[in-house]
Amino acid sequence: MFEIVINQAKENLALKKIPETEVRFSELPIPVLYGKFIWNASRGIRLIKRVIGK
Amino acid sequence: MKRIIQIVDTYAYGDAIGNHVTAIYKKLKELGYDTATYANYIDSRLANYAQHLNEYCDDSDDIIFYHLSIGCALNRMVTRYKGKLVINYHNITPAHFMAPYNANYVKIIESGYADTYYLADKAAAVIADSDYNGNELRKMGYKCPIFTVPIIVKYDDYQAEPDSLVMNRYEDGIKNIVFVGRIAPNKKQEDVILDFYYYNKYFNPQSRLILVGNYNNGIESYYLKLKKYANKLGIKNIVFTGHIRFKEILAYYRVADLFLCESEHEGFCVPLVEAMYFDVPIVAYDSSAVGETLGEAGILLKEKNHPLAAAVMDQVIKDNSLQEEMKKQGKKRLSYFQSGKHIYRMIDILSSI
Repeated sequence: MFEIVINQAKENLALKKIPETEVRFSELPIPVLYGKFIWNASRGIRLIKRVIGK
Repeated sequence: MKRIIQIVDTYAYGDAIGNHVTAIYKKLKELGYDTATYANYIDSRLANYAQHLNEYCDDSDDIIFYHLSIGCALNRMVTRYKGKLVINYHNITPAHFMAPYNANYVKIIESGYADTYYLADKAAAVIADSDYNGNELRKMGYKCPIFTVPIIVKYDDYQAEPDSLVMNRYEDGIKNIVFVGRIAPNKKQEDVILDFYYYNKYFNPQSRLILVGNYNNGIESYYLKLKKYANKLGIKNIVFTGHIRFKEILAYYRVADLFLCESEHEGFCVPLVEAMYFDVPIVAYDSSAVGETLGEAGILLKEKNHPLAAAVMDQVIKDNSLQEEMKKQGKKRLSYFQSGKHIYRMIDILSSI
């Protein structure tokens, strides 16, 4: 029922001409973590002794 | 009278499934049913409501109401009990979301799916949180009756006093865009961040993104990557709350100007219902069970178009009459979940097996 809002937003967007960012999440490296995983009953799997790789 | 026995691997305090199990237990007791809850892991705060699974003495007349949401040894062990098995299917997050971040999680998820296939011809019935969940089981070959009954949400808890520190800090005239959910790749917080980037940069610099949810959960590398992403995009106004107390969650809902969901996998999505409860207008991407839970109570985005999402957010935040209409629709949808009839339907189904 709110399609009209999306259509209005499309019209506003067309006027603004927003440039697309070149930063891509998929292109960023995944930080490397070293450590030991333990099972915690209330919070699921948890990592202890975390070291963040470069 | 048959006993109704709830079994869950991990009976956690404050999470959607834990709350659901407790609500069913309390209602069964109130109605005079012979009932008990058993679990392998019980949060100490729930010790009055459950016993360790080792203490369960099975009986062929029992109805075993088993809560399935993750891979664990119990998924297969539960078939060894004498009673009739009814599965409450809460869905399992597909493994491909976790694959880049945690190989152990992938193994647990894959075993969860294998177990779900294994249980296909062993359940007398299934209660699914959503049609989406039920249809997933039908595709997996389940032939038993499958009923859709929404997860039971404890609305009374939401009337508690919100955290005053959070309220004071974030009720400052800056528009708060909020998403609530553990930091996890299926929830697509990177897409929420990108929507916010466009909104903050091109529509309203007086805005803030608050991502409410635990990140100390075995997929910290995803969280760290999100932080790096926000940094590369030059976003300054972003808050990762981490694991917080319930009254703080209530406060974040109360200061929220808009609830933004880009999740690509939800078996139900309780935070949508919570946002409705707190009169927060919702903009959400249409995936999995999100559209089903949202109904007409928010704006459903059919495509991942981030500048468009930002423009929609701007429309909603600027237009008070639109917000009022969205709140009205939210209340209508909420009354469907809130009515109390669902818990009675669930109990009727269980007692008729």
